[in-house]
Amino acid sequence: MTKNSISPSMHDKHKLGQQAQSKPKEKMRLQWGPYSILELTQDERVVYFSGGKVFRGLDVSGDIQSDSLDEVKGAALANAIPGLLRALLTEHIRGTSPLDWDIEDLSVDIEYPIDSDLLSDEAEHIEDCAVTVEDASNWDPDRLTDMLINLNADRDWSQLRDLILLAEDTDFTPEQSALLAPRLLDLATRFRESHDPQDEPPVWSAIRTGASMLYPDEADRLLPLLEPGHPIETSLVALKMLGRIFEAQPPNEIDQYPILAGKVRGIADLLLNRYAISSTQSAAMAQLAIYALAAMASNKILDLVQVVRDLNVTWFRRQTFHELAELRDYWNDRPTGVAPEPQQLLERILREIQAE
Amino acid sequence: MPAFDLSKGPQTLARYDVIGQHSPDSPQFITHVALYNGEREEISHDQAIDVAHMRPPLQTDGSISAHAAGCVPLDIDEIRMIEVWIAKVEDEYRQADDKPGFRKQFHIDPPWEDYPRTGVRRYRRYSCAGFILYAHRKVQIDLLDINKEKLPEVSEDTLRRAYRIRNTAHLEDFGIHGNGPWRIVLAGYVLHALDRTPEEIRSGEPYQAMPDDELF
Repeated sequence: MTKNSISPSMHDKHKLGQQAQSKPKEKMRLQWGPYSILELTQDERVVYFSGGKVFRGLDVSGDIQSDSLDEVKGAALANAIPGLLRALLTEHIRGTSPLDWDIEDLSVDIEYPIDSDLLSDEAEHIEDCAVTVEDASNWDPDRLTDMLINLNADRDWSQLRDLILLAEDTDFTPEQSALLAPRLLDLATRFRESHDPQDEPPVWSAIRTGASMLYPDEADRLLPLLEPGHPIETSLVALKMLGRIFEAQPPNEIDQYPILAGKVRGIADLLLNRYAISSTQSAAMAQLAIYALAAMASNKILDLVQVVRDLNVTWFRRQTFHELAELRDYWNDRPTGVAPEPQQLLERILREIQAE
Repeated sequence: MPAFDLSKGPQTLARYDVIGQHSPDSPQFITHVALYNGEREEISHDQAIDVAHMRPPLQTDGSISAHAAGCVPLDIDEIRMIEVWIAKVEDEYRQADDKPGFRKQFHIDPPWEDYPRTGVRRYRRYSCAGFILYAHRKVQIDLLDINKEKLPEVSEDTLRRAYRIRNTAHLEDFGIHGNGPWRIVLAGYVLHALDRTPEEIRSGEPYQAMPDDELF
């Protein structure tokens, strides 16, 4: 059973109680964090959340109109909803093929027992809960862009987290991307200081999505995210995306991005030693640095080739070679081709790494 | 080294050996494959073991019950290279269970595909078999010939059983188009590809799947 991992702030709890007290017998919509609960009738409620809505499913007795905050069953209900939703949408669905659960307007009958301590004492179980879930792929990119740009980063971070993850699976126009790239990278920079493990996936996702929207001349926006030592490490993801930016958008000349290349070369210098590459993470970073230097066609890579050879670590040299060979394959598959100098530099690197 | 059905007896597995799972509904039908993510140990049929796999989402700390297994086997350098490769891409899938639309990381045909398909890639989508095949490609072992003309045709019934699909309305999201039959990679093909000697596997000749290879 998935434990309810979402806790309303005390402010939100109080707000919930206040609304219950102020409108005891009217149809109510309660706002609780990212969730909105609309009471249709005394026994029927619709809960709206970022992924859709749940309705009519709760065999919960309780009076949402109670006066006391402690006794407001709506509060207990609101507390239960996140756990219920997460359970419905993850734990139970895992037991079936993920390809079955999908699709706009799909109604799935779920019978799912939940811990009684998640609800009021009267609540025992859920019977035939009809769940209708909007497919996240139907989110309007305009709406998503608007929310990502305009939600307050401090107040609405919990909602922004979900939206960032959605954005990674969304195709945006160039105009939307121009707005989103700096916003996403800014969010990543700010929230890498978070000590909440739940913030790791959205921070990394923001980097991947934001970076994917950058033109080569904008790639230096990733420089701050190359810095290590923050609670949420961003350097590996940023370095990886740097390589991918130039993999997809190769330069026309050698050494077009000296500042960026200098920073990446500094990372490679720190990591290309036998001690560092004995660590999986450091080995990965070192290879990503080499890849990025090759992709941005920096001459700073040339003497690194000898460093790689001098390490005399067979697997590392072999893997570095094959990663760079994949870069060559990417560039060879480009319909528009690649300028000759970057391509020649890459070929030279490949020859020298492999040479006996 | 031949692949084996663990119901015939326990076997010793090493890191990144391949694990297969049978369908609960269809005997011998392999519905899932994963990389064993533990240290060297003897594994029994139906034992829960640590795996790295594309469930979806891709998990590097997953757990499944083992029903069949196979391996190349990999040497220490190759295990190390797969480790480093996983370290490079792991961020793309961490805690993706909480991610709306985690199924979008899954792709059947082809068995792996970048997203987005053009421009700067954010992450790669795999089928469970595709993840295994690609991991081996990262160490220059081409297990299976995935060229369409070399794959056997698969009926809708087989497709449903392979991926436990009840609703085929959105198969296009996973790369499946038209009404079938289709030439796609199924999980069982991976085990058959491993059911050869190490010399055959490393010869550079990828295995060519045969009809009914979804069964093992």
